[in-house]
Amino acid sequence: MPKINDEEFNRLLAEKKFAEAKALVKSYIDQAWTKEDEGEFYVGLITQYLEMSNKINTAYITELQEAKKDLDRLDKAQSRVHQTLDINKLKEDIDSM
Amino acid sequence: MPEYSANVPSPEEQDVRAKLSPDQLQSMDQSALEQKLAEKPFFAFVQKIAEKQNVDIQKYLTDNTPEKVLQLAERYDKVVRPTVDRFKKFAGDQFLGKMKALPPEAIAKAGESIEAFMSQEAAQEAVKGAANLESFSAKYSALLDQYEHLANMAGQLNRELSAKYGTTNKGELSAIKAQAELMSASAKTQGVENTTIHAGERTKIAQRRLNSVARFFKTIRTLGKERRSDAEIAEDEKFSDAQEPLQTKITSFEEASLDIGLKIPAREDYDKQIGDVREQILAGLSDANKLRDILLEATMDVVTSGKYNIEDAASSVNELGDEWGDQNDAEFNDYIKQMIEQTYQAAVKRGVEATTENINPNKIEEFNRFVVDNVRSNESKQLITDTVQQSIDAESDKRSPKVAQLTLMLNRVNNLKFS
Repeated sequence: MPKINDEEFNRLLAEKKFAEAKALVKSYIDQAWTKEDEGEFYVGLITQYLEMSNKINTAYITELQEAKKDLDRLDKAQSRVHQTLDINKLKEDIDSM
Repeated sequence: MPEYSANVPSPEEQDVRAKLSPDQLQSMDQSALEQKLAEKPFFAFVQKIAEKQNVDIQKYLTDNTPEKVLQLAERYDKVVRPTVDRFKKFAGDQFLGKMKALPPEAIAKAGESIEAFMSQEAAQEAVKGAANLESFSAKYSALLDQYEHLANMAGQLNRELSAKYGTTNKGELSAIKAQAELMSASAKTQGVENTTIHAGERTKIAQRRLNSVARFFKTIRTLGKERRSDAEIAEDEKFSDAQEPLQTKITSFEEASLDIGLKIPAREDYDKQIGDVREQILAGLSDANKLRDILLEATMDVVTSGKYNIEDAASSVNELGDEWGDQNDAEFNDYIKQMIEQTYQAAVKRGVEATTENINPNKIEEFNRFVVDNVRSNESKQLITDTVQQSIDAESDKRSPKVAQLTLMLNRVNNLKFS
């Protein structure tokens, strides 16, 4: 596989042989990836996606739990008030008997 | 009649081995090993271990007893294979399959390359010691376990909330609320004294949404925590303060319900007020749900776009922000857009950083050295920039993973300071 050759690159630039200098850089960056290189890339992406998704879902679950807690508090308060109202009504009914 | 069993229990392996001569033992192991090496993935794994030790596979198999290689095979079947299979399954079903421009044959090819890389990584760990295979497995399993756990948990909570307050019941709630409103109005005309538990106006729709969204984003923004300025932290505090009015309402409902001496208003009026607050919470949840979907989609876009370009991401964010375009509250819309944009940019930045760590670091390092050694003039900088940019353009339509590496190279050239 070709490596970048500093000396050669600088010589070509000095001689204003730009097309050849470009070809030298291009030959390096066009090197084929091995199967493992490509696999490493995909595994890196998927790992990154998993980490990000886990953070987003953790935030979402916190939101759900907070909302659930608030709704439970409301349900309990409502139930207690209904009970008091029912008892008061019962008292009134007894008083009026 | 006596009962006869047809089951013949298998003897323990070590008992069998104890009865065999060394020659017989070796012959048995050799046969088992040959059978195992006929399995392509295991053969490739052993080959990679041999490569890591700078020997060919024949020498590796000669230097190690069949018994030792079979022990490795056991660890491979128990630890490496399930980890690779699980990760590959996730990659195919939930990641690569969602990449819009990736055809099925490319997905299959990507699966093969994932296996090749993971097998190489496992081989690297195996060379350090068989016990290290556990850490290889733990690294990937932990992420996938957490992902599945969170998905299940969110699903379960959603089902619970939906069963109690969901679309079916929400209709009922609305009907009850509407009825309560009518009765309340009627009661008022009859001169019934309705004491409101709360003074205060109805929260604006935008404000209501803001409460939930602010909390959601506050957690999300830990992504860029280390880079947050004091001004950003202050901004978070400001929006988290928006939570207070709703919490104050809930607390006062609770206090009122515990105050026996309190003059309780008509049941209908009370139910209407509590119903309003309940609906505010549910509307906030609906927003959080939408935001989560958008953020997950945005994350997928960022990590699969193949070109880590903040400007592109920012313009996508504006489109996403239009989701809230029907709201009249300009401040609220700006806030949402800004938050998504920041999250998006943090994701992009992380993407570049993760790529630097993960992709072919030797090649990038080599290129960086080359750039430092050679970019001495604008002329040479321009030449290298043009060459890399042309390669990016040539690759970008193919959504090749190489584009990410080339982009890093280009960034390196562009960020180089001239002395």
